[in-house]
Amino acid sequence: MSSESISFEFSQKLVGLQKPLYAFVLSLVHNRSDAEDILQETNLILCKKSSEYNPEGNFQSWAFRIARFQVMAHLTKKRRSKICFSNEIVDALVEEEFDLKRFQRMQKALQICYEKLPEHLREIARLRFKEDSSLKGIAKMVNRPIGSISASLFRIRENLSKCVKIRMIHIEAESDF
Amino acid sequence: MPSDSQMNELRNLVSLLLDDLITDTQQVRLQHLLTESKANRIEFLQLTQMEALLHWESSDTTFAEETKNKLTTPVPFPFWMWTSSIAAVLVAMFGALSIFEASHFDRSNASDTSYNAPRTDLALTRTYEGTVADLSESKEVSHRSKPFELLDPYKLSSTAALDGLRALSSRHASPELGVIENHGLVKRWNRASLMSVPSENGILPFKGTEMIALQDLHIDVEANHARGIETVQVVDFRKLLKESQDGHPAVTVKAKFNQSFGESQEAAEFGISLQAFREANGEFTASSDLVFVHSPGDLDARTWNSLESTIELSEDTEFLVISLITSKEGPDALLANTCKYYSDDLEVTLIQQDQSVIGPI
Repeated sequence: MSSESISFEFSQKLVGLQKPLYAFVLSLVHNRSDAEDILQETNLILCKKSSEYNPEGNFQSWAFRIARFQVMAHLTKKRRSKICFSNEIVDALVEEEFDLKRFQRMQKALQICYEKLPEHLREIARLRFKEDSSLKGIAKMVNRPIGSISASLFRIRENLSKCVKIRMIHIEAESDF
Repeated sequence: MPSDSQMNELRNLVSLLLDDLITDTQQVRLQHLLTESKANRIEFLQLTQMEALLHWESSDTTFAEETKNKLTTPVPFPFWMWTSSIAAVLVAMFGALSIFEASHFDRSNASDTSYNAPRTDLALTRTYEGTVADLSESKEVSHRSKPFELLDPYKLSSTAALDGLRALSSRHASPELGVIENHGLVKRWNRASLMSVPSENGILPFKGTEMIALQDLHIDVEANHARGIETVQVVDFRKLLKESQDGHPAVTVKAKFNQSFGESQEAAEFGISLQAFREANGEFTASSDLVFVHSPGDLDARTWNSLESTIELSEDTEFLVISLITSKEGPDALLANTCKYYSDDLEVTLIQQDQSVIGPI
């Protein structure tokens, strides 16, 4: 790839799409390390193919299409060693169109809802999501069994999911107003 | 419309999936739920998207009260880092353009050019933060008719090493510079794919369809040698050392080297340099662990020369920088050289103290 081929506009768009791309990939591969790898590979391909990108076109759908190919290639490799979703389910999940505006509302809602987590759950959330600690590591740090940590993480996700749904309705209403 | 109990079951299964605790039976049940209803799929996507945001956002400024005291801790996918990393790519692009222009300038003004003073291999052991300052200085120097500063192989390889160390520390690899690979407990920043070429100049890859093309040798007249150094990989052992109770591993690196036909009287020497690093307060410091092996090559383009190097990692090692070196000494080093140099089959193997082996990766 020639070094001059990436325009400032292209790089700006790529930066802006990192979170949605990561979320899209994670929804299909469910493993953070794999999702990070696939995101990097996708970025690499997007940069290499930047000369093919039409500025008038839909950058998001182009980028997601490439990410999808990368996910499929990854799943094909992984299927040899581990059970994972069938092609039909992956296709069905991909068909649910990624709504960028909805994702942005979710992001705002999540910020509010995270603040509302009870203190003891927030500590577990911090260790898991920010510190990237394993369940085993968290169990050791807080001196609780892994099963109990798993249950707490389920509760955190459930609380956040319910709160985010309600908040997103408010945020949407405010933006309409 | 799924019932509340089914929705709860789905959330529980997704939580287990995201924590890597899901059993085969539970996974089959999850697949069934996802196939069964669109509402379940939408809920699944919402949960996984929220998970992605949690990993990302918890490192962002929106979660400031949690992050304010831990700014030096590497965090997954901070948005500002991505912005700066892509900005760095843009800077690198201009840098690459400058190098290109400088090299053209050099050829036409070769008689005016002063070469670098000789250095030892230990130049690689300095703190890489310093190297960046050196590089920006040399960019300035290049405007004062000393453009060869930019082509110094030590600086180029140091810059690549710093790119790798930063990428692993921040978990963000700028795709223009290298990719991060996960190998279980070990991560590796690798730029081999960016240096790869298919068969060329009469050299067939040792394995597969591509091989690493090493940079042209940089002539140092005063030191009477020509040398090229390529930092190809940086390996991150932090997770391995955190989770392993088995002490510190030994790392063996193997690579094969070859040189093409060209106007050269003597074969080059090839080498592998392994340099251990640790990170403290956002700076990368070389530890005393440095291994450098070298071996003479031959002029036969049909044969590949094997080289192997092993390093025992000390307690404070977090990263290992792997560089490939091509070198010529003596009068022949100063003559015109149209040979090209290649490496292939680069393998990294970790042997832990309990003799368990990771790799080759």
